Amino acid sequence: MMNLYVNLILESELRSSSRIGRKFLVQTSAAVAALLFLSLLVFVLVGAHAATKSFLFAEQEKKQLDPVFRSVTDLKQELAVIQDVTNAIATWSQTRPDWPDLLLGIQSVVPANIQLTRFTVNESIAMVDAVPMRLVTLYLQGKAAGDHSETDVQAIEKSLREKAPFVGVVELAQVKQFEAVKSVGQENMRVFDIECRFKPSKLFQPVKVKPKEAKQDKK
Amino acid sequence: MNLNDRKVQYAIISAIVGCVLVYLILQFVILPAIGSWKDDAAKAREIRQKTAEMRALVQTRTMIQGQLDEAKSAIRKMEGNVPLPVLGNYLLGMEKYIYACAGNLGVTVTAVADNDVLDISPENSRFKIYRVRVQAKAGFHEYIKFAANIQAGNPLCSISGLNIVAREDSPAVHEISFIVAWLVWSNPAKRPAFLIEGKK
Repeated sequence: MMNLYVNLILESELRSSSRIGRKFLVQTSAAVAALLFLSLLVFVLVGAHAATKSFLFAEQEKKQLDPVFRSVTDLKQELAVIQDVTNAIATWSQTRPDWPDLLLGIQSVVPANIQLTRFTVNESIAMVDAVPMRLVTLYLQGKAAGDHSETDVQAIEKSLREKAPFVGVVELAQVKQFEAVKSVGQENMRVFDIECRFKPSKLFQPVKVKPKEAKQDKK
Repeated sequence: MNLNDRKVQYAIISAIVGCVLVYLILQFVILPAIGSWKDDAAKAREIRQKTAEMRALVQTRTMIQGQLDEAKSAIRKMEGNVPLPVLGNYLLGMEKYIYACAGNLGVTVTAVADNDVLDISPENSRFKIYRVRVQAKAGFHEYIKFAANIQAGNPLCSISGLNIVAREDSPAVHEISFIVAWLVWSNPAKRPAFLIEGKK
């Protein structure tokens, strides 16, 4: 008779091949998960508390600095106003044409055969490209005698453009009229007209502070 | 796993309760705390940035004060050159100035009269230009000296228009009409406070 073996294992006799039990694994995992979760909770709560504290501290610091900051802002605004005044005064003074010097200059460039009959200066203040400018125009009327009257008048025109004290001051000098005198006995006499435009000089324009910006500064 | 086993049932119930607890803590504690952390951190960062800017400005206080003192002193020096009205009248003082400049130069001042008042810009400027017209008889050189006196006596006073016409009967003396312009306060009562306080 053949030997028949049946491996019969009862359920209570079932054992895992692992040395660590399933129950232990489940319990440990649960404990670790709970610990991790608690750590996360503590970390988040501590972090949030620290952030709140830091915010309150920063706010406190700002509050302490605020009065000093306001006083410096007021000082800065006062400086801007005062600087507007000094700039307005300075530009007005700096853009003033030096008339005594210019008049002497005109006298020096007019030759003996030319007599000035009228000397006119017009000054106006006008906005050019939204900037206030000092605009000066000079008109010279005169009589020129002799054969070289044409070249003499041209020489005046050239001197007004190129010679001191006009160079850098005059933008344009142009003979507007040059013609013979129609009176009898003055055939050799010419009358002329020279227009001389000065370079426009910028006057100071204060920067307009918008009310919105002013409000923001006060905050 | 035997679901009829008491221990297994307890374990399942515990797991469910645990999950619910975790969800509740996440939803009502952790997530709001993270939100407030983020908000507070952002606000604190913003305030610190602003504080740093404020501190930077506060540190320039001495410099600003120095510049302010310098500018005030410059204005005080120039203040005397900006005429103030006497009972609303500018002309009296200007007339006096013109005659003083003419002195003994051989210039005959025949008239001094108001010409116009110009605005420097349409924007609200602190200054205006007050112009007077002067009629005089003088030789060319005498007039140059006269103009030099006018411009030298007050750096803010300028010749703003000029008309010289030769006279047939006396070639050495010309008819001169010219405009003298002064820088004046737009509103003298509203000039910088330190100037008004200084006068008191």
